[in-house]
Amino acid sequence: MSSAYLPETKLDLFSVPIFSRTTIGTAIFRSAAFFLAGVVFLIVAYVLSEGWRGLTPGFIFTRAGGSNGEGMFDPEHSGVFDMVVGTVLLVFLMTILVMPVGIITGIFLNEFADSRSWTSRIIRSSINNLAGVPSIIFGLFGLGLFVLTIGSGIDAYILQTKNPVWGKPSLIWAALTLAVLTLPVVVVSTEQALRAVPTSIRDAALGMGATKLQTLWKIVLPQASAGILTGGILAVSRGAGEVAPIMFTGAVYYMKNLPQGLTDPFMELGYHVYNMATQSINIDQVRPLLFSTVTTLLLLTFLLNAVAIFARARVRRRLQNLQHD
Amino acid sequence: MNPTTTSLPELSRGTVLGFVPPQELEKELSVTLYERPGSYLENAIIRGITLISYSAIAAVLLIFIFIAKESLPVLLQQTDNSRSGLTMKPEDAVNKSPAELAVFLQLTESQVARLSPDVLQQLIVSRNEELKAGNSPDSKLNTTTWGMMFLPYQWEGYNMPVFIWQPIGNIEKYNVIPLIFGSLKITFIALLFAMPLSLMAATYVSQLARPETREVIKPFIELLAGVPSVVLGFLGLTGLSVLLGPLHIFDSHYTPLNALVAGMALALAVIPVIFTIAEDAITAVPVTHKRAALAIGATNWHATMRVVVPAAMPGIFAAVVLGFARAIGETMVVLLASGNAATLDLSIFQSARTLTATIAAELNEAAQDSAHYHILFFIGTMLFFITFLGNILADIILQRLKSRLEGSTAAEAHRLAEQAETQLGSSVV
Amino acid sequence: MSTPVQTYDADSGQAKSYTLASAPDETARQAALPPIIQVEHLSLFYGRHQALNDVTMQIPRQAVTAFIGPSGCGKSSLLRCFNRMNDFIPKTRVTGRVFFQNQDIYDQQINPIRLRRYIGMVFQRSNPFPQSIFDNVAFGLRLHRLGTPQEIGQQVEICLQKVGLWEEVKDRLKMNAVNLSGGQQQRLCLARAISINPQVLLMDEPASALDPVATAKIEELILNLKQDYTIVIVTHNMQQAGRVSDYTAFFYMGQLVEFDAKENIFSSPKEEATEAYINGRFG
Repeated sequence: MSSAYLPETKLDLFSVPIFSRTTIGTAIFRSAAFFLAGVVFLIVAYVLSEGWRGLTPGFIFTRAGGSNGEGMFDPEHSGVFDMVVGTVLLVFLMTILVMPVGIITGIFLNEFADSRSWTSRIIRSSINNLAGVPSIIFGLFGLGLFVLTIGSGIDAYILQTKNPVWGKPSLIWAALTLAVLTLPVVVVSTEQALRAVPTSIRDAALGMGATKLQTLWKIVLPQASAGILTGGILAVSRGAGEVAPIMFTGAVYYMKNLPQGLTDPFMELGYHVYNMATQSINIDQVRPLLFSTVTTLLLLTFLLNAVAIFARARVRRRLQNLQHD
Repeated sequence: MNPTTTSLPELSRGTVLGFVPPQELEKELSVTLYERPGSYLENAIIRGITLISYSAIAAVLLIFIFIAKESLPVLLQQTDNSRSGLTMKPEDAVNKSPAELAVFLQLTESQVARLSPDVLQQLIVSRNEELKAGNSPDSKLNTTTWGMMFLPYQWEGYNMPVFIWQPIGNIEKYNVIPLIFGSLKITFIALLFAMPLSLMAATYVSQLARPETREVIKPFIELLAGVPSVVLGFLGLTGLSVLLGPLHIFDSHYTPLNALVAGMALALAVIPVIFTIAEDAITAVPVTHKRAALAIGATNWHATMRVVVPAAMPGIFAAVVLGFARAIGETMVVLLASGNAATLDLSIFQSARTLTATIAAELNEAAQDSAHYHILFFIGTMLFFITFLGNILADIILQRLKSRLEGSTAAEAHRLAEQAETQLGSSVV
Repeated sequence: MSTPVQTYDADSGQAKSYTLASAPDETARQAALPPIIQVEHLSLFYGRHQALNDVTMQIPRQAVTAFIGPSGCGKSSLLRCFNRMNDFIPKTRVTGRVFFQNQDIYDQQINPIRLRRYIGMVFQRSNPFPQSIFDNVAFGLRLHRLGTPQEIGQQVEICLQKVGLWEEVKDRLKMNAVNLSGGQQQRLCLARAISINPQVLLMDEPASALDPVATAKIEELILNLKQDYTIVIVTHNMQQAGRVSDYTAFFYMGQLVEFDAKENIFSSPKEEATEAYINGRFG
């Protein structure tokens, strides 16, 4: 307590060591983070710079086989129209299939189920597992269940035909396979969006004699809609990039016509990239075509994202500023 | 719906909504309080919601059932691709049973059943010639037994027992060890790159970076999750393999597409998984822990490394486990960038063939119901179980971490919150 | 201050005559009325934790009853029993009985959703819906299908008048309610609660998150509203209990220690624990 206990030397309150564990450690960690961000930037920049020139409207709107239906690997005459159509159709169908189931499951887990009950634990653990199952397994699953069991079943017992109509790889089976694959994405983001709605608001509605469903429909869902839409975006961008699950369930190497219905197979951008990269005889000749296709794939996912992000921003604005309408 | 500007005296008492006169209250309550909770429609909707939510469980079960179903012949050892090794008389086409013919011709019974005797005779003749040309004792082997699939075997012409995956050829060799080895080798290389980088980046972004830096870096790294894996594989094939080309001076047998190229490309697919989960886990550590450390004079670095990161350790471990599951299950990257040669070479400059790439490359070529087809599904079952166990493990770890960080059950949490708020209030008194 | 809507006067005009100054007479009058809520041997468990232990009491009609007590004494839990909001907390178990207007509200047949239409609640933190001010107050009326759109408009105005918010917000009824100040939000929640004319208003520390000026406004409102509603209020603030309540109940460790008219509790408590708490010796 007495001044005798004070150190003789002056207290050092100013020095900032330049080389210490703190500064060196932080520097290492910082460089790791910046390195990763830089790698991502480089990847996107590399693809765009290589593929940018080939990305003309002509390229997008020309059929895969060129105007004469020949020379899929001919950089002069070939386009990606079939693949873009196939990808958009596939992702669109998948979204329609996955969104209702995913949103409802998210609602159930967050609003109706007791989080410690066995049901909710098993469902949650299933969702986590579904998110971790390798994408190629989804391909095997889609082939085994949808194409060979359900599809062939329809052909054999309902249509009674020998020529496979449903029992072959097609748009609908690929979309269903992708819907199962993207289910966890939608469920998890729906849950997060619902969790972000404060309990006090729910209490207020329940305290006035609203039922759980009324509270959900009138108070909670309007609040959470922006977040739920984010789930849709994430699912779409995941689905548009997956190739392994559709290899056996619907995507084909080449098709003369665009898909006419749900039971037609289709060409897809990602699968086409894989085909061109592995099947072409002269890789250097196909290179510009390849990069343009990869750029299209990247831009398509970004475009789908942009549309959904725009929609999300609109919902959010409407919620925040009610006085402007 | 606009509120009217009616002046108050005009409102008669009769229009006061929801008001129940005291004498009538008891009568009304005795009816309304006993109404069924919710309408029939609402109950039906809730039941529907519950039912639809089970579809996630159904999906996992169906995946398991349909993969396992197709691999059942292998699991039960019912497949037999051995050949008699003896020639068959063409006249026997009518006498022999379809099952025997199927084995001899390497076809399935249903395929045999569809063929006419003439065609069968021709097939038998050509098969006889084929067998004469390559009359190897190995052709009498059933190469789909457990032993042939997992143990080394000394094939004719080899001077020691070896592991070989060679599903196309005169004698199909289905040893899966080279594939498992290839998967593990590439996964190991990928994790070697991805783990330190993404964990350091996650720690930095969550704890060390200034908010404005975080807002720039985080979306960039998360953008990587949105890059399709086929694009990453393609980049490995065209970019990385060229970039790493000069490394051939270290290995005389250098192949341009090798485990290192595939591993590095795969790391790009794994980084967002590890980064996101680890970042979540680190951010979930209550800020009070860190403040306590800062208050006794620790630097931000020491507070992070000695308090926050240890508290988030289970989550970080789970992130690595899930990263491993993602790496071993990733298909397109390795299919494009690994070179796909099934070898047991330890060198990182050699090609490797993974379990996933094998399924992707060969399933379209394997005839339905052939031994090859069933074995590919068997590989799928193995993959499913490996990732399933990884997921369950990570799930348990993350749940434990969550309950540890968030404290106890909901009722207790409610009680604690009540106490805490009451204490705040009473300290004012 | 006269309220625009008077209570339906069942007791031959008595209600009109009472004033705040004649509190003791009023207490005697209230005591003559049958109680609106009767609690009999109520115990409440959250899992293994017992929050309430054998509480028996009667909440008088058309009066303000305040629950006081130290942290975790179960006063909020008891309040939430009255409109069965505890149902939402998992593993909650209740024994004993609670009668509201002679109906056992923990009866198997009772629909708690209907119950909450008669017993409104105001929470500790203001919780307006992220909707317009008008929609917030109209929510309950629309929910229970009370009245035409025009009548709803009138009722919204009346309720906002009652809570003294009308003059402040009448030009911006379409503004999002979350943009109001804390005190305004809490008064809006009060307007929302009384919009469907509940019989009882439960208030769970309605002013604990507000500044002194907003608190004073809420207290003034409570005194005005007790002409129309039975009010049960949980508070930590003993001065507040002294200012607004007619009856005060003191809880300790999940038990009802003492329940009497406010004057008796504050001036001559019978129990030692009550006295200790009132004098600030623990809390």
